[in-house]
Amino acid sequence: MSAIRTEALTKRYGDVVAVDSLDMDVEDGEIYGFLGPNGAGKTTAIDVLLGYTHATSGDASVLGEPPGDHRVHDRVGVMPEGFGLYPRLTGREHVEFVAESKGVDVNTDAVLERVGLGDAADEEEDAGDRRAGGYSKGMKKRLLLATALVGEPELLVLDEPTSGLDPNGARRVREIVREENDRGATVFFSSHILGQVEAVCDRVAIMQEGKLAAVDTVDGLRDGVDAVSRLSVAAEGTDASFEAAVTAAYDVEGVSDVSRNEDTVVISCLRGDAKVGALDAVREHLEVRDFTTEERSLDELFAEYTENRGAEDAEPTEDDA
Amino acid sequence: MSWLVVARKEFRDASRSHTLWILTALFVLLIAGAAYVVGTALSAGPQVDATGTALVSALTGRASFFLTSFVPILGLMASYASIVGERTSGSAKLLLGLPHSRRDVVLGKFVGRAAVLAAALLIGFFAGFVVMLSYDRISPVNYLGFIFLTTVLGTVYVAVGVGVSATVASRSRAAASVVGIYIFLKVLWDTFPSVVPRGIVYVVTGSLSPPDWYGFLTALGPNVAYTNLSAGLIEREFGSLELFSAAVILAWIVLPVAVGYVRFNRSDL
Repeated sequence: MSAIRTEALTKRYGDVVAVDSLDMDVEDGEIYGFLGPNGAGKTTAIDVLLGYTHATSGDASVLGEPPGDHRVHDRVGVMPEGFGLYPRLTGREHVEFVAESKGVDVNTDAVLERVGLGDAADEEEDAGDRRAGGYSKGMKKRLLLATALVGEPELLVLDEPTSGLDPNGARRVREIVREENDRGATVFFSSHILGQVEAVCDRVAIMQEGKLAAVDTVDGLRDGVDAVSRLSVAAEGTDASFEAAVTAAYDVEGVSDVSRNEDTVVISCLRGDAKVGALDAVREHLEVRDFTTEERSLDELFAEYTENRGAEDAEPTEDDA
Repeated sequence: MSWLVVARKEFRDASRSHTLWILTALFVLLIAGAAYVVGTALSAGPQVDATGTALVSALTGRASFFLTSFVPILGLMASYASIVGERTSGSAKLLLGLPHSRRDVVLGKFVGRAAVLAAALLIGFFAGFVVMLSYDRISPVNYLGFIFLTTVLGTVYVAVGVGVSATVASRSRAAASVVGIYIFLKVLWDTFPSVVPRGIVYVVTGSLSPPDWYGFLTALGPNVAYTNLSAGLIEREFGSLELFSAAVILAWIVLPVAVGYVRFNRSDL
């Protein structure tokens, strides 16, 4: 069974398509990393899944129930984006309110201790007894995580759980995610930082402009990425022969993109073995003087997904008028 | 009973609001002060005995303006941010991530905030009661009835505030809306010269002199309905106008909450 499933899920705000026909399948028992830059539609997708917003079209289910069915939230632990807590309630009262809402007993001290809000030796007062209005951002994140853990939920939906945390706090989040997964929980972990999810996630989805750009295991993505490389060929020839070379290189299998930068042809290859074929294709039309290749890491691939595409969109376009 | 869990959380949360406590303290001073002033005035008057009964009558009489001015402010203050505040702070996502339906949230908010207001009013009325102890012939039945009706009036404005809070998307819009509603219901509806009801009469009859249904028209406003019921309580009269007023009060509680729920249910956080 799928813990979370979406089919052609779409959410529009006026003319803006925040989630664009999203197909996603989170399997029972896995840790699913949901990556993408801010504004890619991650939170909107989560908002629809949890019933905070209504989908424009498409289908979705959470633990087999349609989104917005509040009863299924008995079995879901939610850590929403941001820092939304009740400033006049203490940390302990938050945990107790969640337990009461879910109709479960909770060892409040143990939960707070687990997320690092227990009585630390160097603090004169137990953080759990202080009102959340006086918490730092990191403490707010820890408390939100604590509320998600109450009642051993089957599914944890964590929206940017590590943002606002220091490296130690982020590591603690990953430890807890692993512990919860060992217990049997499915974890849906969203982040805009690859490093936060690659160490814990079984599979990673990269979301870009409302769509999934890639879904694979971390190793699978990495294997793919090892083959992703950029071949730069410096050559001599007429404009016409440059054009012919660009076209020829583009037709080589495994080549994703070709562009000309003055007297250099830049070829992006999805597979390592595409490079030789691409180089041969260029040599048919141009006098090659030199060439270089660059291999790219997963981080760079992610940056490519998340930054360069945005930059392309930002290029000036001619007015229609 | 999911709404009850929300209501208890609301009560705890809102009862820690400083604004609400300042308003409650002001209300205590006003009630105790009014009880004292009215009592003194009655004692000085040659024809009326300074009794608890007379005091309650004076406090609730049609001339008494201050409860229908102040209680609505308390009720709206206690409720206008109840839901929209959670939307803007983001805690609505924590709340609705729990197994609460949106109906539970709206109902729980209303019940919890109404309970906070009732607690604040009871503190004020207890202060008034202490002042009244210095007079003869306290009328506990009248005073209890009066407390009940005033709490119901406050509940009307909590319902209106929660309804507004469930409908709008920003705190400032909620604040502007409740100020507008207050001005309409207090200043334009039931304060002399009752611009709106008289305008309606003029449009319908072409004359400014009040027709015989004028009492029922003005009773559509919750403040007037409350005043009608208070007068009925003191005079032990319960005719068609009082019945109508009670129905109006009930409608003013149910409709805003229901409309708020429908709007909130459709909205995207």
